[in-house]
Amino acid sequence: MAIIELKNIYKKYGDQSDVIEDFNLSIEQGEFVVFLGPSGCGKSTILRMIMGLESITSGELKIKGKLQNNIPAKHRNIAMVFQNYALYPHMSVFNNIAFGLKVRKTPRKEIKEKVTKVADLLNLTPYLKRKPKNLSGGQMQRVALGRAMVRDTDIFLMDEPLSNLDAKLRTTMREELVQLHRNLSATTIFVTHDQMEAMTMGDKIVILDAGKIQQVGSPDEIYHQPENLFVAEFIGAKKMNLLELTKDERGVTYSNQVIKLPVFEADKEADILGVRAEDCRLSLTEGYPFEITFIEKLGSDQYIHGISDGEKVIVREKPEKTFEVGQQIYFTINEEKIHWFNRETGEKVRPKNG
Amino acid sequence: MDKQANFKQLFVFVLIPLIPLVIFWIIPLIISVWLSLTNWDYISPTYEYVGLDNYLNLINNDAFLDALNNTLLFTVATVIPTIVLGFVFAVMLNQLRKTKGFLQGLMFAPWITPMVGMSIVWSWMFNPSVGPINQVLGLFGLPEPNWLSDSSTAIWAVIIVTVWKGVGWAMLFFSDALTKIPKGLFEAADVEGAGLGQRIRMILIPLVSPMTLFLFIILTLDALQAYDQISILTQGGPSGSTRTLLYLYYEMTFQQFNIGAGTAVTVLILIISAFLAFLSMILSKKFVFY
Ligand SMILES: Nc1ncnc2c1ncn2[C@@H]1O[C@H](COP(=O)(O)OP(=O)(O)OP(=O)(O)O)[C@@H](O)[C@H]1O
Ligand SMILES: [Mg+2]
Repeated sequence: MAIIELKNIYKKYGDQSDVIEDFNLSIEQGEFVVFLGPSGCGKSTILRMIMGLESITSGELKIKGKLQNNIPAKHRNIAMVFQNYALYPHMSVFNNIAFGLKVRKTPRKEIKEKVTKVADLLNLTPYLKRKPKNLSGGQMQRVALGRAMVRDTDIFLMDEPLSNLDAKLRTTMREELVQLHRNLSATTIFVTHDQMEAMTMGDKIVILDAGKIQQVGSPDEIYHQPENLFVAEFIGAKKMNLLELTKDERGVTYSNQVIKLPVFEADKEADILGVRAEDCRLSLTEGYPFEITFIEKLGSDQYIHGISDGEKVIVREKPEKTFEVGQQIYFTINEEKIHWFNRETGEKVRPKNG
Repeated sequence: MDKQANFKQLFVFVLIPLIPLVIFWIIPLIISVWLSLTNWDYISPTYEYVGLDNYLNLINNDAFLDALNNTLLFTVATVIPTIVLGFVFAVMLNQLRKTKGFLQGLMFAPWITPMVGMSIVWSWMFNPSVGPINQVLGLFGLPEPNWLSDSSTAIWAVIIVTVWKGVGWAMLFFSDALTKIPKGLFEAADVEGAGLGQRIRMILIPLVSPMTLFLFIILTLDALQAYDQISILTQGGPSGSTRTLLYLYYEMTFQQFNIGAGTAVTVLILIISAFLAFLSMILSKKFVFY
């Protein structure tokens, strides 16, 4: 059963244009959903609408089958981690974490137990007596997380809860959060603009741009089957290589070589060829021309950046091979791994029957 | 060398600013304390040192004890309602968008109007036969007291006027403090299920507490020095029921020309003020969040 359902959601602030347009998403019980998108694309806005902090301009929000549009935030029983933490400045870390429990008149002993446990998990025990202004950004962020984690609820909304942690803490917190999510069999929506975070944590990733869903899918689907140019460029350690195809009397060409196009569904046309760096190879003798401009060595791999027919292309190569900047060579493409796009619509174009 | 430089700095940055303080505050204070130990009558060229006589007389003087009593009542009964109402109005007006500024201005107006003028209007309002207050009370069948001429109600009339004047002022300060509280805190409290009462008690009140302390001190000192409204509404009467310490001082000094006793009263007012300020500082450690 879908626990959270968003149908045709629109959001407008005042009389500005729509910030969220026709947003449709259904989230199953127990899913860990990641919202991924560039800054300003509307991630926080959707989260705040689900929470009830922002009104829904039009559309339907259902939680556990019940329409929520007019239910105030405090009756939704959802825990949320705010992007800017929103810690109470006059309360100690302990009281900040305990606030939700106190409000619900939880017995003292239980509050103490729960807060101690969460503080321990978040490495906050030494700071329990401190006020937020005497904490570092990462510590504040953990307090904000702790405040959500003590809550007795099964829906968690987290707005970039790890953005201010150092790399090591971030990795451990990712694991902790996924673990916590499993233990509570909770449903979590996690906002981030860090794709590594999205890929490693999410069961389901929702890619957003300019208030619209670009693609919804598992990390694998998002990476291997991008639905449009935005996703193709946005996802991946290196953006996908996109080669502009031109048409002449011989057919479709790239760099003066004819490209064999498959037959597309519904007579659609493709004029962009997309291929990931790992699906290309460099060659000294054949392929499309490639002039090396920059070599990025990552230890286990190296990324060779170059220019091919005026376009930037990146190729992943084994670390043993040696190349030099300025070298004029060629690159080849694994034809099975090509993604076809239409420039005008930005959409993927599928070949007929697979 | 270093010590000399230090001394120069001390002289320039500390001693020079102290000069006006010494001339206009400390010296008069010392003179007052000295005068309170004499029997000077304001006119005679001679006077005698009488030790603590003035103070002892005051303590045995019913008029003084009544005035002390009135002062404390007046202070408590003006400061607390002014702060509470100021806060309540600030919270209410803060919810408004368009009319907020206008209503704030309206409420603040009494503060900038001279107390003397307002007091005259109020003495008409309180008038038992023509005043609107009793006409309204009568409409609802409520008792119609002789406000200013009844010794059991006169002080309450003065208190009402004083609170009415101060509320808008306190409201403005609280409004400012409220707008400085990040909106996110209320959202967080909302998310955690806090109701209106809990939000006010657990977030709003603690976060405006520095402002509350400030208003508490200023309003207390202001109440201890209330004079204008008393002098116009009741002249300390009827039968001394609105005679506060400051009013007593005025009567002793400028009507009875008993400078010694009068200054003794001011010294006591000063001591009370200092004590209350000190007390609020102590309390603030426990209740005020910075
Ligand atoms: N209260 C508001 N009034 C007007 N416009 C707003 C308001 N809040 C957000 N917006 C606009 O809505 C758009 C989406 O904002 P939102 O905060 O949801 O972005 P985001 O995806 O969370 O970005 P980030 O990653 O930077 O946090 C932005 O263009 C922003 O300027
Ligand atoms: Mg955001």
